[in-house]
Amino acid sequence: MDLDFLQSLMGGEEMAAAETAYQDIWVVGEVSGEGLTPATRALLGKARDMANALGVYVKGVLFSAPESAGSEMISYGADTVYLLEGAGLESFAVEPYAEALARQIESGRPEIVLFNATSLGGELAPRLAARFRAPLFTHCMDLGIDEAQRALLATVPRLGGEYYEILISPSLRPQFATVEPGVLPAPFADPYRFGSVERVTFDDLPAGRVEMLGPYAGGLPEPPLSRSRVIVCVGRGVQDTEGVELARRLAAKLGGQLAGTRGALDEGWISEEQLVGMAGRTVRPALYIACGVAGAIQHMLGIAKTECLIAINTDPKAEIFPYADLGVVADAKAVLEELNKKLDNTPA
Amino acid sequence: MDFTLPKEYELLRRMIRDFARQEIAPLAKRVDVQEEVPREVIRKAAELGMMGVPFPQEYGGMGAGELGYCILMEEIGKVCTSTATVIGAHTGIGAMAIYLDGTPEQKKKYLTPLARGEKIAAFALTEANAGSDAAAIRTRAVRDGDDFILTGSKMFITNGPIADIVSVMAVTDPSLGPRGGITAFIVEMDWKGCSVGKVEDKMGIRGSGTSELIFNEVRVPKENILGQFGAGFVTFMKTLDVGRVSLGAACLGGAQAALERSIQWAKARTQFGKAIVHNQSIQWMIANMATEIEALRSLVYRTAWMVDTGQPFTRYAAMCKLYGSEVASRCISQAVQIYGALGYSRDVEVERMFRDARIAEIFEGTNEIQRIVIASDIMRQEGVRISP
Amino acid sequence: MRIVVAIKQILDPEGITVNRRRERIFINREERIINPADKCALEAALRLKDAHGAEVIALSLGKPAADDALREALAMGADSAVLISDKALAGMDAPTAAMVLARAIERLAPFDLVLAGQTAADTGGDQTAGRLAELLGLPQVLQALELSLDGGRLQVVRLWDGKPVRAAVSLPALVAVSPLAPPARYPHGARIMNAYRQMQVSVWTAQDLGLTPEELTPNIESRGQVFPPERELGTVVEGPPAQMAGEILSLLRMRRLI
Repeated sequence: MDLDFLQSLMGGEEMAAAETAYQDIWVVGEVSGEGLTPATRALLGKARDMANALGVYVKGVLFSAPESAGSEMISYGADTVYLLEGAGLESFAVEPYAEALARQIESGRPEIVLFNATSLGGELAPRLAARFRAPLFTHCMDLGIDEAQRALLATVPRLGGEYYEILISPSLRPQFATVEPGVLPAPFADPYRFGSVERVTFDDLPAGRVEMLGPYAGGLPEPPLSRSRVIVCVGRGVQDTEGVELARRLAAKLGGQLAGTRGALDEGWISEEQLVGMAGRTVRPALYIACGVAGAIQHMLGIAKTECLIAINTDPKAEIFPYADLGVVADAKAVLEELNKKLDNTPA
Repeated sequence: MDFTLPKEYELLRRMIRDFARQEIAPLAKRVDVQEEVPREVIRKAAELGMMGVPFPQEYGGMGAGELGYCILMEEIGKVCTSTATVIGAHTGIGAMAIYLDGTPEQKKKYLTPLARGEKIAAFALTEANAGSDAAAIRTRAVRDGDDFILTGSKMFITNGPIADIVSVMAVTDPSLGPRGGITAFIVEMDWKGCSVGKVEDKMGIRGSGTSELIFNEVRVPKENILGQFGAGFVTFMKTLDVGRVSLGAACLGGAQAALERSIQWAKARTQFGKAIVHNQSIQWMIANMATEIEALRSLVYRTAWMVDTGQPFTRYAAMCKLYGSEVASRCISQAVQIYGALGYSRDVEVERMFRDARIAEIFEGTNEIQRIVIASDIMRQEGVRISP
Repeated sequence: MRIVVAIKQILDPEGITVNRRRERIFINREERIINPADKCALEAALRLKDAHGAEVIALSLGKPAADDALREALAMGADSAVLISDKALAGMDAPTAAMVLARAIERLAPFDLVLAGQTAADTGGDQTAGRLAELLGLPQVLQALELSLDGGRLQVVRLWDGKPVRAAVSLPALVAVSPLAPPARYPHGARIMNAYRQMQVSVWTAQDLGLTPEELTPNIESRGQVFPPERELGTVVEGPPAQMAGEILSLLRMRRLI
């Protein structure tokens, strides 16, 4: 377009403002295996909705990703995708990644930059926010737009998600946010959407200063039960040590720990440190799977702050069921066996 | 008047409360059943200074005074009376006697390892025929050159089975009686002639070992005389005085735990379609418990303040022990009542607490003796001398 | 080696109840604690001190009451403590807090290592560490579980998307410690006494750090709270074990627990 013509239409001052104004919503995506991660897709869907409300573009950013991933971003709502490339971007290192993204942001001037609240997002977002003296909302559960102020409304979890707070930064741009993976609905892909994928190559990025040495194979100390996120609890209803072993295996698969009732302690299946209830530990896990646990008050008092309680018991009148998010009337040992089997068959 | 707890004591209380909940509470049932406080627990407590709370830091203590020690006893008393008793007999009377009346050399040699919890102390006064009538002890210490030969046996000695160092009261001059005829000695249990006799099979505080201590011609050097020669009666009276304050604190912990358990249970237990906490009968019990506990708390901590500020406190220490043990017994009994049949079951802690609480009305001077102590102090001010 | 540990004092979440039905937050017990992840960071610093010798400086930004958090750090084993406290700093937002902390850390230079907790248990904030690294120009290792020093290089076991991986970095560096890292030690009783009776907490004001009112203007506002729906309890299903396992797994997926 003829710039002079545009300038004459808008008037000089307004043109200058348009040049410096921040606009568009950017999504910094992630690729795993064949394509975009589900969280990235969902983030694009959300960005699309917000961009429509603001009347701006959605632009995707990927690091050292194949063209196909760029096209996928477009199918999920991006108008333009930047594939950032160059020496230092082959694998993750925060310095070159942050530098490349910062340069791209400087030239592209987005008003909103979204990340997944993954390790990648967690590494990049705070560094960039600090570099641009910009607000950052972390682990958002939802996003919205205040249209009057053209500002991002970020719903962030408080007290570990007991409630949420809606935050806004009316004046500072760009606005950064990381969004908790899995909270946004999965969008539909439109393979016929039109957009452009641009390769952007950087040749003088700083070297990464942290050496990534691969997976850690050694053992890690287990956190105390009181801080465990996932607990599989056994009661007398798991019948025998075989049942306990199945519970232990399930706990390991879910990244959690084994615990037990007074009955399990008396049977010698668990140690005092693993006893949950009034006489033992008080726990507040995200997930508590009670296997063959009747639900005596003394036990329930120790798990009152559980976020999700699943109870498996053969007795449909078991006291635990009214407190459970899901009660399963079945033999705990048999269900544990099936759970282990199903999780073995599910790819990680 | 300022009742604010100094900040360092708030942090101390939080540390001890966390320790008690994390490290002691889960073991309380095992301690009761297996009749032993694991040495590992004592070691961990010792590493944090909990075996020498009231003693100065120059002797390896925490330097937290009687106030800090009462906080310790309250917090541990909440979760395990046996553990509190082990620490109490060690710190509150066994090592306390050496702290109160020991020479600088004795403190360096004995109090330091005790305060650090490297060694365990006991206090040996009671004998088969000398309980409340402590002056009737028969254990003899006979001078032999520069040493004394100690012979006799002590009964119901808390920490008897595990003690390394014992403050022992013995008759050094039968003709003089309690005033001048009794001397305190520091005895190392690995000396020749020292042995542990019958271990009691008790109703409660089963994790705290109580036993007979037998001294068979034990050679005690004169450097191990504790306090003035012939003034053992003064040493043990002073020691027991201080011990009673912290015993009151342990009782406070037990009573408070009973109240907390009661509230927790009354909120959770439903009968006739509603939580029993909505029954006025339960509310009254809880109100009564809370009131008595608050009165006890004021008494205990004010007395601790009197100890730390060097004021006479004998009468108030006796009150701490007397009222504390009774409040604990009453509150725990109420808790058992609120729990109903379950409260009588070994599955719940209030059952153990009920058995554990009873001893506090008896040991370290029966409550009857405490009343005599209180009355005689009152009467002394009125110009009346009373004798037991 | 000089280690600066940034700690934040928060209200103990255990004392707070959120009533989702009534959409209200009740503070039942107002007890202030060191943010759990920050306490893990402090523990990590003290472990390095135990193993290699180090000077550990605890730094906190907060109300005058945060003095207690720093005394606790001293009792745990920190060598000195600095509190940044000023009325001008009240109501600060996260970007400003990081900027103020960075300014204070610069003033504590030279240092070899800056440690901070990864996340705040109250606000859920997860950005102070990364911001500090950027503002201080340091390399960053986040979500650390274990730290060890190997010939001047810091070896870190950290979480990457939930899985433990190894990383190494030369000093100086910033490491953010995960709340899942080994829990903090109990402070020794005698040190607790001395932390209040003998040790000092230096207090720095906004002026000491050369902060201007413009720099401290908050730019983030709250638009109110939202409460997730109450848990619906009491759903009971019955069937053969394989089907029941399927029911359980689909609930776990729905709640993002696997």
